[in-house]
Amino acid sequence: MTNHWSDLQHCRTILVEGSNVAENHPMAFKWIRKAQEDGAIIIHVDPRFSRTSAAADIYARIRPGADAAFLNAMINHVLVHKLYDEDYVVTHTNALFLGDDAFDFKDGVFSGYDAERHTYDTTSWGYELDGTGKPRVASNLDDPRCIFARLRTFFSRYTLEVGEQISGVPAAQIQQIAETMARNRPGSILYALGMTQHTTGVQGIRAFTILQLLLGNVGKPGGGVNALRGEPNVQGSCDMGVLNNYLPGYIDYPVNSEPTLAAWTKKHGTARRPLVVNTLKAFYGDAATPENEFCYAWLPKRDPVKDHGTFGIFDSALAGTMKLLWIVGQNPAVTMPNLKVTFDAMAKLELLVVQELWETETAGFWQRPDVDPKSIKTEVILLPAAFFMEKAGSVTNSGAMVQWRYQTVKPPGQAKADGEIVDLVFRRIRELVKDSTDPKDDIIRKAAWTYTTAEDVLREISGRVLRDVPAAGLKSGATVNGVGDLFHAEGSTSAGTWIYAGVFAGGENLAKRRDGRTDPGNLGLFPNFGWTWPNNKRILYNRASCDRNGRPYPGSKPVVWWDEKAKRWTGYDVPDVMYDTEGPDTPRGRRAFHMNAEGVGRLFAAVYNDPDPQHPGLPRDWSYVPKDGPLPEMYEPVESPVKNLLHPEVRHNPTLKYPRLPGRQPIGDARDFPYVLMTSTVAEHWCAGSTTRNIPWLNELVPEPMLEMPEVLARKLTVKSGDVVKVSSARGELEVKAVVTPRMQTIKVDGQEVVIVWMPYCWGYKGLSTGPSVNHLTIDAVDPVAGTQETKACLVNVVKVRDAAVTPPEPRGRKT
Amino acid sequence: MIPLPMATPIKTRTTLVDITKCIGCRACQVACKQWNDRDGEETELQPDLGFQNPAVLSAKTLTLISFHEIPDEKAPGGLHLVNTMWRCLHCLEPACVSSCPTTALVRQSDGPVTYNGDKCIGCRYCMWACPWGVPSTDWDTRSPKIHKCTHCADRCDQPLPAARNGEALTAQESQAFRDTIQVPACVKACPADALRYGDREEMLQEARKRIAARPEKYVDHIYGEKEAGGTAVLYLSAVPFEKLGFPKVAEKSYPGFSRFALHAVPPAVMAIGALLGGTHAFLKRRAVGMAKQRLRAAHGEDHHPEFEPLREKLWTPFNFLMLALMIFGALSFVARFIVGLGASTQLSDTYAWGLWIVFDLVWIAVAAGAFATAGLIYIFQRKDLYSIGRGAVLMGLLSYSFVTVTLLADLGLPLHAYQLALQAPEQSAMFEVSWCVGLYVTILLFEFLPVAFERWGLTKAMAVWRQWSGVYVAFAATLFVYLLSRNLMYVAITAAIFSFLAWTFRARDHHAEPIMLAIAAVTLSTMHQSSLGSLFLLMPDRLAPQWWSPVLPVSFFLSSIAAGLGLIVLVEMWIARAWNRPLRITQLAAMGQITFWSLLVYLLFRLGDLAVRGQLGGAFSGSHGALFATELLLGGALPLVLLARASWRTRQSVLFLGALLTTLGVVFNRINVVLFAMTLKGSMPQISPETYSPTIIEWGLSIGLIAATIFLFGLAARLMPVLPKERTTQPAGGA
Repeated sequence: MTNHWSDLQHCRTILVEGSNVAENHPMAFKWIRKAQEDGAIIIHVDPRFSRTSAAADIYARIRPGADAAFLNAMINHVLVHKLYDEDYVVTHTNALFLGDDAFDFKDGVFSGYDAERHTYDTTSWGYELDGTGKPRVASNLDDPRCIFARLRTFFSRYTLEVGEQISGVPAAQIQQIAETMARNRPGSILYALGMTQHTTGVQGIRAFTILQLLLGNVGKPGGGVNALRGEPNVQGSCDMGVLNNYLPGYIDYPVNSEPTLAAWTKKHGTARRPLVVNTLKAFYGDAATPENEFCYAWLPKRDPVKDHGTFGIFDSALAGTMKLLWIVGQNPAVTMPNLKVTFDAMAKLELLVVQELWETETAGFWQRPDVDPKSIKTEVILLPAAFFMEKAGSVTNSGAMVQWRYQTVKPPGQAKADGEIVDLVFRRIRELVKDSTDPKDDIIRKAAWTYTTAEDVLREISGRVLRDVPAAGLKSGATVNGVGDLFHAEGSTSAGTWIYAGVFAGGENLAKRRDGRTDPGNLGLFPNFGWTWPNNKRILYNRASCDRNGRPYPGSKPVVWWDEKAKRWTGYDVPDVMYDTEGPDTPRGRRAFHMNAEGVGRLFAAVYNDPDPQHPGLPRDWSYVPKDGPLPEMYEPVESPVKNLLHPEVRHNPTLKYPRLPGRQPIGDARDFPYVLMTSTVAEHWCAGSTTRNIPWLNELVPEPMLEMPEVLARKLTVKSGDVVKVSSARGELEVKAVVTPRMQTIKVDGQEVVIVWMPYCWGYKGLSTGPSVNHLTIDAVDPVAGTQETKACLVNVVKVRDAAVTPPEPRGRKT
Repeated sequence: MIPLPMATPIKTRTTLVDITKCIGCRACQVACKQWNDRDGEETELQPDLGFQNPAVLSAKTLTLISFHEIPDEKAPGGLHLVNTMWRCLHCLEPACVSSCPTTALVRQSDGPVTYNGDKCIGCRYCMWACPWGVPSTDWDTRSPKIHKCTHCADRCDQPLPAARNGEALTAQESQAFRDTIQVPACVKACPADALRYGDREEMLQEARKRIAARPEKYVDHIYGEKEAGGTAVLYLSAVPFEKLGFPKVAEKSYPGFSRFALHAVPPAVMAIGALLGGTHAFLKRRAVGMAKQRLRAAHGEDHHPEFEPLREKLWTPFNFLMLALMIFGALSFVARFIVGLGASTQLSDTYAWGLWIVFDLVWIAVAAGAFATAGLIYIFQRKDLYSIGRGAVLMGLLSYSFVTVTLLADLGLPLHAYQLALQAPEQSAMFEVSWCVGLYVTILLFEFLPVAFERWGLTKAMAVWRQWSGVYVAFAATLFVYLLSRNLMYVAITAAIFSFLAWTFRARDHHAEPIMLAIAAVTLSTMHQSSLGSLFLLMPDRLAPQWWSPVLPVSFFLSSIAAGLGLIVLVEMWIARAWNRPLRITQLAAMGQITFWSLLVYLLFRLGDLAVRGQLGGAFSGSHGALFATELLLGGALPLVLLARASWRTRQSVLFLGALLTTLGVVFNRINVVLFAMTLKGSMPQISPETYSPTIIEWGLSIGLIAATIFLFGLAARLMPVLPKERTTQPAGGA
């Protein structure tokens, strides 16, 4: 989230696309309803009419996987009819920057495409630079060489009609939504896995960003692009570097072409280097010195060609190159698409360790119904983990607010908190290698690992001052008070996760704060409630809520501003500026998006290294570029019943590599599998259902999975609600009860009626409520950038198996 | 002097449910289970209810969200997906509270309708009284209790803590506690602001404000504002309430339907007692004069026949069959208590009452012969019917005793029955019936005791009985009035009237008649026969209009006389045939005549009532019309014709058919009222009614008790002088 939950109350429009916020984030509705009460218009774009649609003022039914076409048509409408916020676009985006002439886009492919390796050489995606390495800037938006002109050209193909033809959303409705959003600013966009679980997930999110930057909606209360994270602490886990390509705090993890810190710095910039050093100091303590590049060498290096993500893990297990897998709080035996591959991969492991509350489908994968347990040689160890109320620690919500949770009850039996289990294992391993002289063991032997409580860990994450830095007023032994403290002499501070620097400011655990009263400006910011990274900012990029003079844009609620008298940035929130004394007229004071090398919002995701004047030859910072293109293009899902209307030859994301595992990843054809299946969770069961399916209260609400289908299909198959149907895809089949509902409808795409069916994915064969896993059917093609699977669109067939069982109504209370 | 604090106005804790705001997350449904500590139900997908589960409220589910898919071209996506909350509406004048005989259900002065299982006897009257089907029973347990939402009264009454973590609460924190903790669990859990909680007036204002602000969005109706006299749960909706399954409920408060009838009981007791006493005094004087004349004219008229035990073999094959059925009944009775009410019967939240209640109502109606006969003989001085008296009283005693046994079995918590003596419900037909029937059983016992005293020559006991039965009647009547009214003036007047009557009709010699007992019998029977009808006054929405009427108590009373007399005729005929005794056709014809008149009065009353209520036109249409026609033609018009002429009445077969049809007509009436003419929709939201067919245990107990009545009647007739002595002049069948 760029903003935060209670900030939704300030929206004047809310576009919910690819999220069922009412069901999966019901608490958000406290604020959405408040906004609605104050006149905000809620728009829901989704293939399935859900409880969110019911709460919306505008509902648009969209074909699964066609979000880019819909969004691009909106962007085009905004561009053509000049509905954008021109001052904002000029001030806070790269619209005026001149693009590299070498850039090209033709027939669905950007310049630099290597068809054999399915990759792009991105060098042509940059700016036209001046002598100092800075981008050249046009004087106005009509300059044909500027990024804005490039945007106009690119999106011009997406007329409202094209948008309708591809996405199924009527042209008039696309126009209505675009104009509603343009006229009711600020507005927010909420999304979740409905947008990301596609092979084009990043494309859709890029389109969101472009739309919001054009409308001037980023950085303002009631604006932003807000990812609604599904797991209570998925934000915190990602922050801590659980993603394979990041160090803690989203610092790029070293790859094998960066063997030294110097090499890393050359690629990622001098601005980020201190952050790595702080993390390394936290990892290795005194062992990390300037002389040994702070033990940078000890970090194992990634092979950028190899997939180290979830799918790479199971692919390696299947290939036999991975012997041991330790799974913590995850249930891939339910949640992974194309489950057969997952099961086969687990059976190839020598040892599987599962750390869980229950014996989940993953822990008991060898007990699955259609398999002889004797045929599985994998040794499985189940480590009993503690439930969230049985342990203390911090949880970070979607709005990046870190909140401390206290232990309420002791875990039962031998169950332990996850951190405690990891600690026990680590200490035992260190014991085993304590006398080793092998250099590869140094990383363990010399690790700074001295924690006794969860709070110790948060203290280290927040950071400590290791030596006096008088110029900065840092005293050895003190806690770090914010990100700013981390940039002094290398090695003078340590901070495990730079974005969390200051959560322990002044030695106090600020995540424990619960001041629900102090609310400057009545914006619902509550600065003394918990602590928000970075530096307790509640609205990211809030500098962009002000114009070039540092004055809040009219039309949105003021949140920060430049105080000319006091000569500093101030406001109700912590100003998101590099230095709060550098005024709006200074080069750095203008930068609202200072974590981009350009300092501005990127309508076009250009390749760019910002030169560091103090270290000639080294970049100060660099900008990340999605590897499937700098602009969002519409590509069809891997399994789609329709052709790509824009470029029939390039039907799918050209950077996609699928199938990865020959013979195990069949692609279904619409002739055999005519219907589009989308999957999601339900309000009542969460993710794999590992916990919720063990709660009778929730099983009562939704006792079993079902297939929702439109009445058109039901008539064709002579199916009525309650009948059992067989659903099959190229990968598997299952039987489930049907629910025929007007909430599901066919969608007209290019004159063709596309039938959409839906299933929840929360079931498996373990727990108090069992049912078939829909992921036996789904496809394990993944987004080439994010590695997210395409579980929101695959092709299936549905046939009727039998009528609903006729059970006579039994008087209550006579259960056998 | 310290000034008295100003009386704070009574506020009504109210929840405003804005259906348009509900997102169907069902946090309320789970929060309700959590706070009230209820298990999850084992459910299956409800194919036509969307995500709704379970289908209806139950003992485990006190709050439920239903899902409705209502197509509407104007709605976003062409569809209203509406979720609405179902739970107790907490009426301002709750039918359930007024129905409860033990104040187990009460309405707190500030709104919540709460339940105390320690007081509950498990009669389940509340389940049928509630127009929405809210109270449920936990049929799984052996002592089932009632379950319903309490508006989280316990939660909202939590005391405000003085401090947190040792620090005194600020005013703001106290307010926060009140706003977030001292509210119902559902309100606390709602993330979508669909539930607001506060004073009823404020909630009504808020509701009106919302409708006024967005008239295009809301239907102009606050459900609960006026329904059933107003409720403390109010609803706002964007679609008409009928489309969501909200029943159309009368604006009148439900207790209002039965209030008049029940408040009339204590004065009626006084009035009827006095009237009966006066009638008796008048008729007695006339009868004494006539008797003197008659004595002079025709000495030896059989008005005071002697009675003697029957000399018949007891162990006939028929009686063996009866004994077998009794054993079956006894086993059923034991089984019911071993496995519990829920497991032994097919009763459910839809059919909270079943065969046993039908049986009770029917039996009490047909057992009206006892009081009718006693009244005729002693009060109205129909001494020609004297020979029938003892049999009728014995029949009544057995019938009422076994009704009591059935009720005991039917109570969910029979061990709590003593609560009837401890609690003072304001107006409960069930309470009235319980006490009235209970006291009447003792009167019947008093009436019958002389037979036993006579048989075993207990003259001393007889003397005591003669001296004290009048006193007992005065006591019983006064107690009854006290229990029903708790009004000392009523009590004083009743005591005065009945003491005066007892003194007036006190036993002066050995031939004294049990006038007081007869007065008590008629008075109490008038009360409970009619109050059995009052039970159904709370069900105007369920009982078809052919049966439901504000004067239902009167038709119940009138019909019981016809049925009771009819049965006496039948029993007498059976006795004559079974034991080969002479048929006293003159007396029976006289009974037939009285039956005719009572039936006529009853039928005219019923039809007149229907006409007055404008229901006569449609009374014979529809499926209920067929039932009504059957009841009225076969059980009313036809016997009326058969019994109309004196010459026909003296013909045994015609009299038999007339009496039989009269009795069956009333039996059918009671079955209709309890089951067939009721539209039972089950628990809220009344979309999934359960079916009912009595179990073998239910049948067993009822059949066993009928067999016991027949057997014990025969046994008593053999042991004691119940039947009149056969005339020696009569040609005897054999030696």
